[in-house]
Amino acid sequence: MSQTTARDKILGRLRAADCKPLPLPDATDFYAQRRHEDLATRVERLALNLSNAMAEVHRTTSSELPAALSRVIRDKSLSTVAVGRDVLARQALCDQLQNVCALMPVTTAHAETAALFDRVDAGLTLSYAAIAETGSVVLWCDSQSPRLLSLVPPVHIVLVDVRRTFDTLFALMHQENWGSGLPTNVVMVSSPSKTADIQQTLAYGAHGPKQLIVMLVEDH
Amino acid sequence: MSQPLNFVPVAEFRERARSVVANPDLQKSLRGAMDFLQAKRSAQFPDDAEFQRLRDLGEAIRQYSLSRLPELLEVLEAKLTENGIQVHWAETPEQANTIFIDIAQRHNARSVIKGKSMVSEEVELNHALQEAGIDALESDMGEYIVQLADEKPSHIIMPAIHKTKVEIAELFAERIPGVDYTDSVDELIQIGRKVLREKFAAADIGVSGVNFMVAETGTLCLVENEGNGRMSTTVPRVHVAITGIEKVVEKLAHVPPLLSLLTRSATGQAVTTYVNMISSPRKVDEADGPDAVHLILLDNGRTQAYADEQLRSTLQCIRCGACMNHCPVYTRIGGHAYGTTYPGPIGKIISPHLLGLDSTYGLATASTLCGACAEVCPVRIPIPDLLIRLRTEAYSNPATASEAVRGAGSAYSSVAMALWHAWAATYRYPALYRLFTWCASRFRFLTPGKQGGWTVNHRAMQPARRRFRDQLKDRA
Ligand code: SF4
Repeated sequence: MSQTTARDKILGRLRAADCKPLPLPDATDFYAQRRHEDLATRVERLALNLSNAMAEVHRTTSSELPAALSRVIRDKSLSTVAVGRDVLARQALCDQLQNVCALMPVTTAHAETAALFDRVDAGLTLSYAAIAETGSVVLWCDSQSPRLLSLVPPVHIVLVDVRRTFDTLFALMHQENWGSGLPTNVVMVSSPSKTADIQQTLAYGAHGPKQLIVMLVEDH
Repeated sequence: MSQPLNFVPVAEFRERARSVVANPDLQKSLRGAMDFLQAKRSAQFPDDAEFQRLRDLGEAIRQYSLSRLPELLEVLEAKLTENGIQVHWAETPEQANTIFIDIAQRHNARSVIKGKSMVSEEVELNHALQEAGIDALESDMGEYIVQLADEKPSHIIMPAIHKTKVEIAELFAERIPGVDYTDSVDELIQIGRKVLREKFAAADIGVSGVNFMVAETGTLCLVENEGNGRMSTTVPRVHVAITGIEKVVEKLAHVPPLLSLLTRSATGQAVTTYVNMISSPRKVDEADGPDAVHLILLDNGRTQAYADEQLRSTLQCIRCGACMNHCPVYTRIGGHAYGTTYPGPIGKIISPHLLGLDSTYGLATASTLCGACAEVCPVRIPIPDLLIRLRTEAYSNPATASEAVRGAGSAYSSVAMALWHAWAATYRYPALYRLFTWCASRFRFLTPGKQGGWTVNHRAMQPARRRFRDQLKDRA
C-alpha cells in the first residue's frame, strides 16, 4: 500500500540525514530557579489571574458550597444544569441543587449532545487541579467527567479544591507524573471563550461559554 | 468557495507588494495591528534575563527533538496507535488530501467543520474537499471571515488581520442570509457564533491542526481562545488532525516551556483560553468525544530542509508569528503579497522547501537582513543567515549548484555572473581598478539616467568628476 511506502520514504529521508542526537534538555532547572509560593499565595494569584481574565470567582468552603452554588444558579436563572458522573456522585450537593434547578445527567454516549446545544443553561464540572501562574483550571476528562459540559452551554461552573493549586503547569505535570499516561482529554481553561479576530477587539463568548464561574473551595 | 491552487503566483510578489504599499488605508490598519501585537508581546516579557533563559530552553528542546526526529516519530506513532489514534503519512499535499477524502468516504461524511490549521491551508484541503463534493466550513472566527470573503489568511495567527471591522460588517450583511448590517464587534461575533454552532452540531468530521505532539504519551496539544478547536475535536464523531512531521517533542515536560513561549510571543497572552490535550478517541464508558481520531503527518519538503544541517533549523519553528509582527517588510506589505501559505520571515525560509526555490527566491531577496525576526524568534531560528543561504543557493550556477534545495540555481544569470566576476577582478588588481575609475570619471556623461529600481525613488547616480585619489593628490 502507498501508506507504508510514504511512511518508509519519509523516515528513510530523515535517517539519511544522519543527525547526531543532542543531549536531552531538562526543563527542571529553569523552573527550579523561579519563585515558589506557599499555598495561600498561590490561591490568591489564581483568583486574581482568573478575575483579570473575566472569570467570575466565588470563594467558599465545602460546608457552604451547596448554598453558595444554589445562590449562583438562582441569581443567574440557570434552570437546567448538565452534570457528569463526578458531580452526580456528590449526592448531598446534588440533592440541594435540585431545589433550584433541574440537573441533567450526561452519562450515555452522544445521548445529550443536542440538548447541550439547545436547552442546557450551564455545565457544572469538578476540576482536577489549578495553576496559579496562568490562572488556569485543569479539567481531567474521562468517563466521570464529559468534555462538552465545559464547552457547549453558555455558562460553565467549575468547582476547585484550592489545595490542588500548583505553581505552574510544569510543577503539576511533574508532581503528578503525567508522563506515565493521560486520560482521553485534559483541558486547561483560563477564561470565558474569547476572540480578537475582528480588528483586534476583544469579544467574549466566541464559540464556548460566555461566562466562566469558578467556585474556589477553601477549608481552613 | 473555489480557490486557485497554490494561492497566487509568487512571481507577482513585487507587483502585489507595491500595490499594498500604495494603499494608505491598508498601511494604517496593518501598522495598527502590528503595533498592537508588538506591544502585547513585549508586555509579556518584562524580565529579559528570564526570557533569554526560556528561549535557551525552547531552542534546546526543539533542536533536541529534531536531532531525534525519525525515532520520535516512530515512538509517537506506536503510542498513538496504542491509544487508538490512527496515524497516516503523506509525502505531498495530494497524498494528504487523498488520505483525508478516503477517511471521509469511509465514514460517509458530507460535511466537515474545521478548527484553525495552517497545514490544511498548505495542502489546500478545502479545495480538494469541495472537488470531492464535501462541504468544508472554517470555524475560527478569523478563518470564517476569510473564507466568507473568498480569500486566504494573511497571517498565521490572526487570519483576518487585513480586514477592518467595517469591511467585516459589510461582508456579513452581504453574505450571511438574514443578517442586517452592524459594526458592533460583539454583535458580529455573536452572529458568527450562531451560524457556526448549528454547523458544529451537524458536521460529520472535525478537522484541527496540532501545536505539539508528545511522543511519550501519544498526545496532541492544541491551543486556542475561541473554543472552536475544542468543538471541532469533540462534537463530530470523527476527528482528523493534520500537521507537519516536525511538530513532535519527546517528553510531556517539554510542552510547558514551548507553550509559554508560543502564547506569549504570538498574542501576548500568558496562556490561551484553552489548552487542549487529546490522547485518545472516546472510550467505551465516556459520554462524548469522537469515536475515531486520525492524525495525518505531512512531509511536503520538510525532509529536504531536514537533510541540510543549516537549513534544518527552519523546522524549529513553533509558528508563533512573532517574526512577521516585527518584520519591517511584512508590516508594510501584509500577508497576501507573499502569495504563499506562510507569509513573513518564516514564510521566506520555509516556502522554498514546500514550493521550490525557482518560484520563491524573490522572497528571500525581499529582506534588508535587519535581523528583527531573529531577535524575537522564541526558538532562536537564525532567519537572516538562512535568507543569505537561500539567496546563495538561488543565484549559484545550476551546473554546480548543491542539491540541498529544489530549484537551486534558478535565479542564476550568466550575464550577471560575468559582471560580478569583472567587478571582483577590478577590486583584486590595482591597475585594473585605476583604469576603471579613470574611465568612469572621464566618461561619466555616459551613465544612464534610468538605473532600474534605484531611480524610482532616487536621483540617478553618476561617478564624480574627479576621482577620490586625484582629489587627495591635489591636497597633498
Ligand atoms: S520563525 Fe520563530 S518567530 Fe517566526 S513563527 Fe517560527 S517560531 Fe515564531
